[in-house]
Amino acid sequence: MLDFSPNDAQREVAEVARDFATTVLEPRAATLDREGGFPHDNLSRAAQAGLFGVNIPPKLGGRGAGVVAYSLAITETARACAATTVALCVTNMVGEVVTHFGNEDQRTHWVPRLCRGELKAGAFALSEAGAGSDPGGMRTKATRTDKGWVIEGSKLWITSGTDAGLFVVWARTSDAPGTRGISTFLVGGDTPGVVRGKPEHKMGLNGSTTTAIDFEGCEVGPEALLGEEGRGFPVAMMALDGGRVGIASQALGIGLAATDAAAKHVRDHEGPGQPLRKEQWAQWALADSATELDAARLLTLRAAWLKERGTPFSREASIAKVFTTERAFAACGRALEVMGAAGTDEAEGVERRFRDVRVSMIYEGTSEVQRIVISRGIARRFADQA
Amino acid sequence: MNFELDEDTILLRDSVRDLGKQKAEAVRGWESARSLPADWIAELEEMGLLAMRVPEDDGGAGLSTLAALAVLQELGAFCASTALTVAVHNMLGLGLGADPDSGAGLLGLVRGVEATASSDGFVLHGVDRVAIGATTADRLAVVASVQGALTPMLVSRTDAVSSTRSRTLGLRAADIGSASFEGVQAAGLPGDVVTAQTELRLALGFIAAGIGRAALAEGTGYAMERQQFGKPIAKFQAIQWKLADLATGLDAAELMLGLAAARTDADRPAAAARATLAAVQAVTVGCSDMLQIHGGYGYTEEYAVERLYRDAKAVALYAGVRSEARATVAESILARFAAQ
Repeated sequence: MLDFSPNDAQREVAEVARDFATTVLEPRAATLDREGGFPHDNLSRAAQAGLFGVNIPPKLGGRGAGVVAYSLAITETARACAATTVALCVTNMVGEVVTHFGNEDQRTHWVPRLCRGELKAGAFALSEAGAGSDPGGMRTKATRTDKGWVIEGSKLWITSGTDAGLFVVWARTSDAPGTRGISTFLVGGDTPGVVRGKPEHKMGLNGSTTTAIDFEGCEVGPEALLGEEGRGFPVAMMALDGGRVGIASQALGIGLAATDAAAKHVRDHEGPGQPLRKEQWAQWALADSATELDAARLLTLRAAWLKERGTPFSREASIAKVFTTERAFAACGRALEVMGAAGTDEAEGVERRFRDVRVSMIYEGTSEVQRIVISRGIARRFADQA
Repeated sequence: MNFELDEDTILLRDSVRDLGKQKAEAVRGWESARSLPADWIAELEEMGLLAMRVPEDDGGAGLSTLAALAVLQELGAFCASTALTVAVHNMLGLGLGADPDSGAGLLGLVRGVEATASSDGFVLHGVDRVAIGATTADRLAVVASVQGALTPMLVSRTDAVSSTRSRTLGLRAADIGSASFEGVQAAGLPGDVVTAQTELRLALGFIAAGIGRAALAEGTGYAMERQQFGKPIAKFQAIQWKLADLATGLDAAELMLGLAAARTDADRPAAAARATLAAVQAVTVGCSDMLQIHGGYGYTEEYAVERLYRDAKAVALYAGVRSEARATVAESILARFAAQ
């Protein structure tokens, strides 16, 4: 039987997240956006609320509530503060990646501290100046030494790069071409040779930091290697697939918040000659956003549910990500249009959503990359039938 | 039929385009300071851009409508905040009957307030949260409702106008803010509100086209330079189609804008609405696509496309394309068929 209602555990996590969003995040979101910087207090409170390890087993300090619960929680926090939410998403995924690929020592060393908030945030160091959509262009190298490895290279677009206490770092460990010969390392934020760059000046998500990280003769022990040597690409793919569910959930929350604001505006304002709620152009805008975000929500939760069941979900994660981010973007644009030029004033909160949502079509794989993933899946299915 | 601008207009357009190249760095500073410096306004005045439509005999630049709009498009391509400021001063000033001659100082725009007739003009009440030139314009052209009838009037800065700057999505260097009036005296203007709205909307369409042209150049340049998967990303269809769509949309919009600008008949308001609608639709989508081509870099202030994208959306909202412009177009279609 199809059943789209959340179970008790999922509902509980969503309620915790909603409460955290309305009491902690919402009141300070506008100020955080204006002043910028790493959201220290928001994140330590998120950790206290148990939102750092929603899909991490309780024995490692997480909630063990599953992927659907994670998705619901992220949508709730993103309604209030997309910037804090992106750091929250990445931290959760770092915990999942270490839990999934790490050995017992790595798990027990890093994951409980991450979940408790002791590491401030987790971060992925994957992209480089020449390796964005194409990870095969990666140049960062890890060279084996007597004591372990030396990592050398420059990474870009690191969410929480200013403060993260744990980096998951991808580097080449052999000269094999393309994505072969890439390995994954766990690098503590206080490791000598980790050089944090200055935060980028971004259009949005200003209450989170995005930096370059240089690894300059960064020495790590043999225990830093996560998973098998040369098998870093599958780790990246798992992180990205899971990350796409998170970003879809985040974009959904942003789109819903903008649509709510537009609906309140329509309820409370007069158009030329009649109340705005009687103007079809305003009604249509709200109807389109509601319809598209409803579809987006179902696609996102389906991808989360598949991942939770342990079935392949890569294609569905890409479908959810491209559809939800693009429709949430459209919803934010429509919300501005409904409110008119007054909606561009920072005080309304909608222009922040419009700026924040834009990057969701870029990070965690651009819309173009998602379409490549989706079309490859289709091509494979038809090839099998040939 | 003639699809070419005249030689003088081309020369003027090119000189503004060159000015844009000189000012590219300065514009970044104005936008982050959220203000146009006084010496830049003075420079515009010196160039005659604050009296574009005033006849040469009266000390103005004596430009045709099309030439003035071409200037606005070029200003829009490098600083939409400047273009909006100049557009309000010139096009609106003329339409509303406020003399845009530079001597009297910069004109701003206020809408959505109420006025009552008094013995020596009007008395204003109300707030416009998106007044242009709210805190610095020397004079404010006001379109106020007098018992439901939109009426043009003028207020001097020295009167009791209370105003604050807003922090806005786009057009950040333009002086957009809240202007409030509690019993402020205003003098009536002889102009026509529909004419003024038409001229401002047309100006915004040209400014949007300028933003679109700039974004197309940014997107194309980046696509040719950026290498992924061993080749410039301009070789990928997903990138090429974005460039093709914006280029096509801009071509169509510019022809419609030119046609609307040339019209002097009763269809001018509807033609202006159609053209501006086409322009902002192509340009808002196109600027987002050009940002997308830049990937993560497009989301940073390091690349101009980030500002172009925000400004395109802001211009679309000022042009009122979601409802007002479409309503104007629809009314003209219905009227034409009713007449048959």
